[in-house]
Amino acid sequence: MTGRVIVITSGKGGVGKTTTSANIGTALAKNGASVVLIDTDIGLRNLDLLLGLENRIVYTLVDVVEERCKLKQALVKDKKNPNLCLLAAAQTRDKSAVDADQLKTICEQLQEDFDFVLVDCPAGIEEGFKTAISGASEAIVVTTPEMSAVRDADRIIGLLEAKEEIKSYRLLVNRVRPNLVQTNDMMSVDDVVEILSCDLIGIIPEDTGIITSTNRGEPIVNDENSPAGKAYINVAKRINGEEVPFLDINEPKGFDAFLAKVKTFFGIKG
Amino acid sequence: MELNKRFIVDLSQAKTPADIVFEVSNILENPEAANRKIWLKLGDVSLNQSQILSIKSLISSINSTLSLIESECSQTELAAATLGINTKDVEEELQAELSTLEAESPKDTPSEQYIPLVDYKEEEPKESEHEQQENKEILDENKQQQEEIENKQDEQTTQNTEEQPAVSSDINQEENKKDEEIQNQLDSIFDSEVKLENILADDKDITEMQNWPLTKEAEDDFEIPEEIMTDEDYAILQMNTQYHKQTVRSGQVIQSNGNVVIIGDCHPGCEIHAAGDITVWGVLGGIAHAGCKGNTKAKIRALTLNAIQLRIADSYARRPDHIKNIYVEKSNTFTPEEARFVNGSIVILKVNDR
Repeated sequence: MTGRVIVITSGKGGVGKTTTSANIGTALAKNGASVVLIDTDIGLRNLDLLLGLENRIVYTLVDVVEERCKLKQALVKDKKNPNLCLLAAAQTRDKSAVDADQLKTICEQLQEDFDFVLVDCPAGIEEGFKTAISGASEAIVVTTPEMSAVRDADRIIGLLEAKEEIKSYRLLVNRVRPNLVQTNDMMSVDDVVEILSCDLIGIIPEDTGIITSTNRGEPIVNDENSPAGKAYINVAKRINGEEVPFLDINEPKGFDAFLAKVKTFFGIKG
Repeated sequence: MELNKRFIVDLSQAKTPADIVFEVSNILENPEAANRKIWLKLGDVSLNQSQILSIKSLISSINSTLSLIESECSQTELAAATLGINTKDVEEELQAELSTLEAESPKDTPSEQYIPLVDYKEEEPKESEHEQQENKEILDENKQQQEEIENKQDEQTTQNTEEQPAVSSDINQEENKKDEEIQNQLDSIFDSEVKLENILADDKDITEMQNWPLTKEAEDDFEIPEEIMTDEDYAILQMNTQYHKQTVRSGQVIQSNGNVVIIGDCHPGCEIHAAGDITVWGVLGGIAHAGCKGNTKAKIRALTLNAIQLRIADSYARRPDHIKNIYVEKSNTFTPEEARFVNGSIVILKVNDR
């Protein structure tokens, strides 16, 4: 079995790489695929917190690289989903502890046992980024509809294109606020796609549920009613090759919203 | 020779450990019960090791020995067996002993009589962990019952307990003293709270690592065996001690070949490794590994113990999943706790004000 190695990157910090990794990983595992998440943000690890696995980590990526344990010993199984594993980063070291070749061999080993190897990339374009993308053949570029994040995503896409091993890369637009888009206070998803001229894999609406899910250590895809959770499940389906239409995030406002509610109540479409 | 008189106490009607202790203490006021071998017949009451120990020391205070316990509860039997008390069936044991006696000296067949306990119908107060307190409560509540019991004791005194030739005299005064000491120790840690259980003991097999059992809250009557100072304990006492007056933040590591004392908080994400004990005068939120060179007697103490993981020698314990507060609320009230390695698991005890 040869699994797919997908790196989740952004360039800019704080756009939701780690949240995306945790949610896509969980959604893929829920669909029955075996998934391993690798946190390469050594020294600033967060993925374990988002998955609520912080208290289970004994060995880390650095321990595997420095041969203090076997690779399988360092894999932490998810609480709910046995298909999902986490290879955590060390908190007490820095990015120089693992180099590109070492991560590549680890990815190759994991590819044999798992359908998906998702690599959570650190922010920036330095060592950590180069290490993270070393084993990957696909990439998901996370951005938000802000000029700074789009500019950084553009830079990242340039770097990914320069790397031959990366066969495909797709864009995920995170934290979209439909009401701001409607009032032209925020770039629309179409604008972002146009600027970056890149295939889209998902649109994630801004969702306050993300904050609570992060604090509880439970990915939001476990809550199927949340808009962000639904969007992440759709992203996972698209990764699997399914054709899923993008969620209509343009909520009607004011009188239109009221009208729409009345219409749906009476079962009238359009 | 008086020592070998058997004195059988039937407490099979008693429903709580407090009843038993109360009954035993009443019976022991009876001068007839002194210098005897006491056999206890218990019902389906679960007694733990320390409770039996306290009963044993009560009995030994009047120069008698608790030599046999019959119980319908397997836990009680197990606890008694670990304390070296015979746990056979009273009747079977009697028959066996009588037959051997008859074989040796076929004189007159002794008439063994059971002491029936008055039926307990009244509601007992809920079982608390402090037996002594409970005894007092019962004393207040059950004064009418006490009269009945006294009547019954009068009956007891009139009953014949048969004499038998000496077989062996097991009572050792020194042992009794030791028992009392142990009991005092146990009382002090009696209201301990067990939060964590170790995840994997010494076996770090891959499959074990992947199938960690969920941490479960242990039962209230988790038994803590008596503490005896060993060479390992003395080794810790002789180690050097490092003092750190700082807040240990995420990503910071403190390593020591001896003991570590931290005056300050240890935030989540930090790691403390010490060959000896770890003491945190503050909130411990990170990973603490005491006895990292393999000393299982090493302990971890903190004013607030909220560690993500506790490791003692080769054992790991993780914080239960339902505890979600990652950063502890800073407050002026602390519940100092101590983690130690007991019978293959890491146990957290509340440090009492002794």
